[in-house]
Amino acid sequence: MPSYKSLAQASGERSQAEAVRSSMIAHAPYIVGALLALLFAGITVLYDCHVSIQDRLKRVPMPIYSTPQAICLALVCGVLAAVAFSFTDDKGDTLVDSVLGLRQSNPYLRGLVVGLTVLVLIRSKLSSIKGAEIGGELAYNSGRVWVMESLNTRWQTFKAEFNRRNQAAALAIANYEDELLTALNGAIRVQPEEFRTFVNSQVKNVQASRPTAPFAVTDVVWQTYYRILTNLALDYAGPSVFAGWTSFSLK
Amino acid sequence: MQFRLIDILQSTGPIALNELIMRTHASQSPEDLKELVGQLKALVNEGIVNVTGLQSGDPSKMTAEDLTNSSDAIVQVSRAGLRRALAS
Repeated sequence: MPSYKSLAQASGERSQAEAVRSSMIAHAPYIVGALLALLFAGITVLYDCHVSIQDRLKRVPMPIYSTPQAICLALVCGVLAAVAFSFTDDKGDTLVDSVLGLRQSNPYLRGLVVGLTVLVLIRSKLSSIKGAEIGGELAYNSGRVWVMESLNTRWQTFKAEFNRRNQAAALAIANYEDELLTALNGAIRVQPEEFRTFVNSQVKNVQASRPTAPFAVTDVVWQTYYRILTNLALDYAGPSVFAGWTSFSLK
Repeated sequence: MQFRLIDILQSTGPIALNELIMRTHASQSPEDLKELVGQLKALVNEGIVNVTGLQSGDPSKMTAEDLTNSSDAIVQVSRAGLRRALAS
């Protein structure tokens, strides 16, 4: 027979568990709202990084979502969004509400909006004075530069590896230069004219340095020429320009 | 249309110096190389570009001979250059 003490202890544990459960239920909208803020802030930051890199680096960017540095930046901004969400309320009276122009009683919608607009918060006048980067703006831009640097390093490694894997296959193709430039022109056909001119001017410059010696697979000058043409195609059309080239290894 | 050296450097990522010369100058005459040296030195002095692996060692004292002799040299946009690109 259970003693009075053990019954009291069991009852106490049950009521404690119920208290936690009811507290969880009561806070569930806020927890979900904070998670929504984190998730959508992360997506927004990844998209912003992708667009800024595509704009500034003028090349086919590597998948941003597979870059640890970009995911790290997105997570940090996500956590900031979740913290910012905790400073909002359903009346729209807080500082965060006023910066984001929020007056949303639904916590789920509020979380979503905080997540989508977290960059407004990070880069708001709270964190910059007369265009000078301080605080959040400075930290966020440093984060984007960090992502760009890591992408540049990965891109350099990728191109070197791609050439190492495929140089023999390239040298074995009789009309490699013509076939590659046809594929490159096809790939950038949909790009703005300025971009096509930018690429074509580099192609012309490289072709002007075409080796004058008869072609030989073992000739270092020809190997260098093919490598530079391959890098040009990779820079402006990405690895997909080689899709369908059966003798090439793309990954 | 003349494109700026920095546009090419931003679009390629880190690039071997000899590859950069081929991409930017068709003739690679002494005048072309001198012009490229001038442009690179200006970017290096502004802190926008880093050049590593030069035979002479010091990018600010780069010469046209360095361009042709430094086969392992790498040119890349610096952190400050990337920051400026983001701000533009």
